[in-house]
Amino acid sequence: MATFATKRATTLAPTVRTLASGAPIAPRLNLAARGQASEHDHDHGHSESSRSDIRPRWAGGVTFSAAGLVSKTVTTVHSPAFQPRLIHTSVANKDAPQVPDYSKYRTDPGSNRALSYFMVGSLGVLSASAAKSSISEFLQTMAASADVLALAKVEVDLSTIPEGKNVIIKWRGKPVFIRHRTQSEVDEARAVDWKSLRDPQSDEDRVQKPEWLVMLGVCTHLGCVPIGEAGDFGGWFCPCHGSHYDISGRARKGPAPLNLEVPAYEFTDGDGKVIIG
Amino acid sequence: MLSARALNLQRITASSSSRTFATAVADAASGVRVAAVDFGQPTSAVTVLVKAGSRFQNKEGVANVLKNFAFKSTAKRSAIGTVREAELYGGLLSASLGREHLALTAEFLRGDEAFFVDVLSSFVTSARFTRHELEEYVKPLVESDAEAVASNPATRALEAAHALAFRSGLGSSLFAPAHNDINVADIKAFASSAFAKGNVAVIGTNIDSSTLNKLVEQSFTAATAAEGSTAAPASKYFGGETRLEGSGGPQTLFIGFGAEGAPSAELAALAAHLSTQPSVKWSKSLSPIATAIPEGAQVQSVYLPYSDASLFGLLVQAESVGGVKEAAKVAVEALRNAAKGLKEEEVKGAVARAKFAAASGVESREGLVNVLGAKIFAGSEVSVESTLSAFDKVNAASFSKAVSSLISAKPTLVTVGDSLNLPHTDELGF
Ligand code: FES
Repeated sequence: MATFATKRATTLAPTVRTLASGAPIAPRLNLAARGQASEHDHDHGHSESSRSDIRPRWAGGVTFSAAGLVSKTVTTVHSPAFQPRLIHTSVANKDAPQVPDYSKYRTDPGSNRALSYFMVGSLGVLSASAAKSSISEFLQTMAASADVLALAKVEVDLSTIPEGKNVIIKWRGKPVFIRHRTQSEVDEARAVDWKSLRDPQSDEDRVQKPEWLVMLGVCTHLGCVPIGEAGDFGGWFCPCHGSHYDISGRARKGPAPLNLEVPAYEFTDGDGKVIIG
Repeated sequence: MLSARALNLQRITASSSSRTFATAVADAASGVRVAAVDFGQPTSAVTVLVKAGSRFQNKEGVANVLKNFAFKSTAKRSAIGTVREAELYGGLLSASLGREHLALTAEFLRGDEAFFVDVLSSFVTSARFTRHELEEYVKPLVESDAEAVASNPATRALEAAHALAFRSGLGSSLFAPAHNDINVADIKAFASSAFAKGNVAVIGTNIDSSTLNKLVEQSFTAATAAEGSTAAPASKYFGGETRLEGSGGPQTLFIGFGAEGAPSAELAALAAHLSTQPSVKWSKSLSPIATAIPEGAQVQSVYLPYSDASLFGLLVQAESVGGVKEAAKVAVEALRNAAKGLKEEEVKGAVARAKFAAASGVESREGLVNVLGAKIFAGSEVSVESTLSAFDKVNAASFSKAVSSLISAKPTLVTVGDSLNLPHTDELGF
């Protein structure tokens, strides 16, 4: 019984009940309150104990008799009439171990198993396709874009290159030499004893069509761009350190260790074009 | 058949009455006085009577707090344990405080006496008087008592009259002041002095005397209670006048006189003579007051006897100040006439009514305990007959002598209500 000293008034032990008339004998109820003294008050000829604001006699009080003034307190009583209150406005006080009843929130697990499986399956398919598309989208971002791809290949119209002329084009940031060789130049290139060269390579290995020589214009020594139709061998000459290349692009003199590199290229059929890359 | 039954009844009454008055007070081995009466009724009651009334208190309100501490936790059981067990046995526990005695009473079915005597004795011998119980249970009850009195003008008037008439001792209030600083130490000190063996008497009704003796011996010998008893200084009558603010309720006036010494049968007869309580319902009594007072006014004759003094008075209540004035005049007039001398048959009638009231009062448990208790502590013969026989000596001469000596003293006047207009002592002719 959590009662405190600030409480205004109590009368009896907490087990004491109320009267049927509602005269309550309960803690925190001030039963010392005065009734009105006029004849128009609540007491319409009833006995004192039916007054809700007067402490009934069985609950103690003050009497004067042959024993003098006596103040009585009753610890346990049998109140004259006890009527249980079957309706009350306070919420039932449940003990901690009691668990709320969840049964009305539960469904029959067997009733919609098909729906459950359908939902699981379709959601699986949906999520798998979503995962697949997002991964492939992501991987596509790593592929080269169209302009990069466009730079990666170069198409050259060979018909604009007259015989015995050089053309320098740019491919992947590097110069590419295309020479329309004359028959005499082809013969000269093939007449060389290529086995004695620094980087032995036959002219047939370096070209797809004898009249078209396609090479990277980068000196194999330290990367300068050689000058065409120059040098001791009628081919290319690198001015940086003096490397000489013949008409097949093979290193013949100077510090260059290798022949000029031949990129991957192919001729388109019919319309006389070469695609480098 | 009918006559046989009547005879049987007669025999029972005769035997039980003889038992009643033959009850001896046993000075039990424990040092506690025991008296028992068996009327052959189905429920028993045991009262532990302690000389712990408000006249013995050393601090204002301590006796009231001790009364409200009754049946709280002891070394044997907790407060709630006491209540629950008492309920399981179907018993009632109550505590009453008067100016002379604190009465702790247990009423129960025959056969449960062992438990209830134990409950009573464990409070007397081993009450714990804890601070939390004082704060949480007892103080609210004490406040409730005081509040109930503050709202009852009749009780307020009587309390104030006691204070005026006897000042200390019997004058000290049954109730605690509204703002008191009574603490656990005060209660313990008061209880340890009050629960001395010489201060405690056990009175049983409808219980076998030897059974009660044995139980009391068992439970009170273990008591740590000290020997000896408390004595209060003899009461002295002073008188005076006080006027209290009324806080609602009827206009109230108390005019009274005190008498020192043991209570006398003459004053009881005077109270019966002036009493406006009708013997037949819906009628007026034969009292000289009842017929003369204005409609709506009430006059109660109040006779409160104590061991060494008594207070006699008239309590006048009415809705209006005028009603009180008129009724008070009538009442005082009746008192003066009684002092001048009444006719012999009037005195006889008054004595008979007083004797009947005294005799029938003994039939109730409280009344019996009160009568036996007074005699136990006074050490006089414990029988109701001695009380009743005192009435036989009253005659018209002794009656008028007693009344005139009573009203020759300084009166005690208390008014509660309209202090400006309610009558003063001199306006009533004293
Ligand atoms: S870079 Fe061409 S010769 Fe050194």
